[in-house]
Amino acid sequence: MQSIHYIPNSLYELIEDHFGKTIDDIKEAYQNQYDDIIDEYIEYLNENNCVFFTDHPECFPAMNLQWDYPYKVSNAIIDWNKNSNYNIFEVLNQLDMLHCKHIQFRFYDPIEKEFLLKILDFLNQKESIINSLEIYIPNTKWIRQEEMENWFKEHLRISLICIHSSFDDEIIKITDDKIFIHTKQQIISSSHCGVISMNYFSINLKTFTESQHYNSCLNRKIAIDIDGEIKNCPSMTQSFGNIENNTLKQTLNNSDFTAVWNIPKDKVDTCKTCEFRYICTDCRAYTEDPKNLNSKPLKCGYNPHTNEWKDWSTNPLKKEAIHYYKLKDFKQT
Amino acid sequence: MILILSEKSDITTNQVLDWCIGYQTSVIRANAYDLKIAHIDYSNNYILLKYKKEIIKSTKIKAVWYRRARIKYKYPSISIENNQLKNRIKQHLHEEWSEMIRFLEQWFKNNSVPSIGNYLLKDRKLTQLSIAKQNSLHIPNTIITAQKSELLLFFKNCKKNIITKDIGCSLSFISDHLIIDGYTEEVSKEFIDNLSDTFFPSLFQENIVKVYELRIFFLKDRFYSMAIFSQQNEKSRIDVRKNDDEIPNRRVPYQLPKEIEHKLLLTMKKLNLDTGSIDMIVDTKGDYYFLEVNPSGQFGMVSSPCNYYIERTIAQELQQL
Repeated sequence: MQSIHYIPNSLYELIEDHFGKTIDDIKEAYQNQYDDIIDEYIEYLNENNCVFFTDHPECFPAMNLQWDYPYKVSNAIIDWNKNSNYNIFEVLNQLDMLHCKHIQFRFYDPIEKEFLLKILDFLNQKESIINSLEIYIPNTKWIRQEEMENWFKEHLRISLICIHSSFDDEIIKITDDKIFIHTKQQIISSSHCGVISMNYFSINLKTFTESQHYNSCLNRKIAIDIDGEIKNCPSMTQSFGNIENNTLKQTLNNSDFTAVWNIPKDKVDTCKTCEFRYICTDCRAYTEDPKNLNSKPLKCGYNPHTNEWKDWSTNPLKKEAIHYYKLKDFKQT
Repeated sequence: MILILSEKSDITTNQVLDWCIGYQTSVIRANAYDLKIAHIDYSNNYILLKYKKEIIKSTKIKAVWYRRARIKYKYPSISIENNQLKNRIKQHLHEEWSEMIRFLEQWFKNNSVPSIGNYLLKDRKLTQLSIAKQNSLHIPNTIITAQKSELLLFFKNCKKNIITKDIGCSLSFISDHLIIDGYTEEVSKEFIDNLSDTFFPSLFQENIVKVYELRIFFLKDRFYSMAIFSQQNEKSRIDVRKNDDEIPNRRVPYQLPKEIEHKLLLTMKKLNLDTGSIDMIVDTKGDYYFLEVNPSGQFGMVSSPCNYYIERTIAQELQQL
């Protein structure tokens, strides 16, 4: 249903400067020098259902692009590997109290089935406000396709299960908003994250409005890395203390923690001129210039000036940053 | 404490609740069966309410949002052979319960507990149309008839372009094998020809040739309007609820002319409504036609496409009442 259309800069100008005017007035504004082009533009917009004609433009005010959310935090990432030993239930407890509704679990190493079920039961018994769970787990002996598919029915909170390090690449749509994924990609550490791709574009009003004001990855996010460190995102270096002796609530009240939320694409180098800036994801963990918080995402291969997508990992200009983040072994998938 | 009366399946209530909780407003949401009258204290003028397992004193309730659905009761099964008597008893229990609930709603009113919405008065379509007309809003030509001959005459007078819809609420029926939803439908000459000379009294209306439809959420003197371009899709041409995702209807923020807002305001005041979802249509001449107002209608479908955050406004309103 949602789609994007590419338009030339001259058409952008026409829309911005002449919104709500008659076609004749628009043509006249250009001294009738570009009548054919203007007709062509209007026809294009009309064909793609981007405009409508009315005798009462005053009745159609521009939409207010405000964005707001009832709670201080909307989503969390919880990372876990074989060496993790922080209290994951305490984290869930705190997230529940903060009314954080969406949680992504990323298990980098095989885990016991019982551990996962214990987490699901824990949320169930609490009648937790947490209402969507994304679970990334490596392919393990106990994983049975049918049983896992059944989990979506038994545990209504699960919105996505991704079996990584799998034999196959497959996406199974369970329902409209529930997905089961198999991927050959080995998701064994947080360094896999931060890739910018058209596949991750999110064409909807919520993202569009949020991106006008806030960072499109980190806003209202909190994360616990494999060591129990509280961060904006597990891939970031700065920790705001360990969960064993700090609370998430304290962290959220720390203005240093929330500072990165206020970096919309309009403040990110290169991205600020990119046509995708309000539908794209962002990454503040891996940037082209690791010392500059407003630098372009490292793992983005798009050049908005040439409109070309290239493999970011082989770009010689990014070599230094790739080395800095020790991403050398990274294989783009 | 704020009391929200709603029903389990109402997602809009969840969204308003999120904002209330975010604002740290003390709030209880009572769905259909969650609330009972536990005790009436006549000497001190309060009611004790049983909310799930809690007992709440009515004087603790600082505001009420009558969102949707009245408080209900699960009636006991009656073991009487005589079916006629059994039905009469059931009906009587229902009346007794309704009286208790009416009393509770009246108690809030008499004790000036501020509220949004209202269950006590409900003027439906027919009265609404006449009040709108009295406040000089256009309404489509409308008749209720049981006579084929009268219908044929009306059909002719409306340039052979009429529709029919429910007089009260639209019918909704769901069983295992059958789902029926009452929609607004076009009435053709063939359809009328096939009718018997008399039939059950039904509502017919001139089919206004519309450019777009308006859904207007009204809350305490403010209007949140949206235009729906329902004419792009054959399916939604007559009833926008039949719209599908294939050709989604354009839904955009709309600014009503001040004059129309004023007439609507007078209409809502006369109908004693401080909130409601108003349906209007705009015809090819640019005339605005009032169709009806649903006092507990859905506004999520206006709020989200127009980015109005009505849910947040309601939470703020409840907090300030």
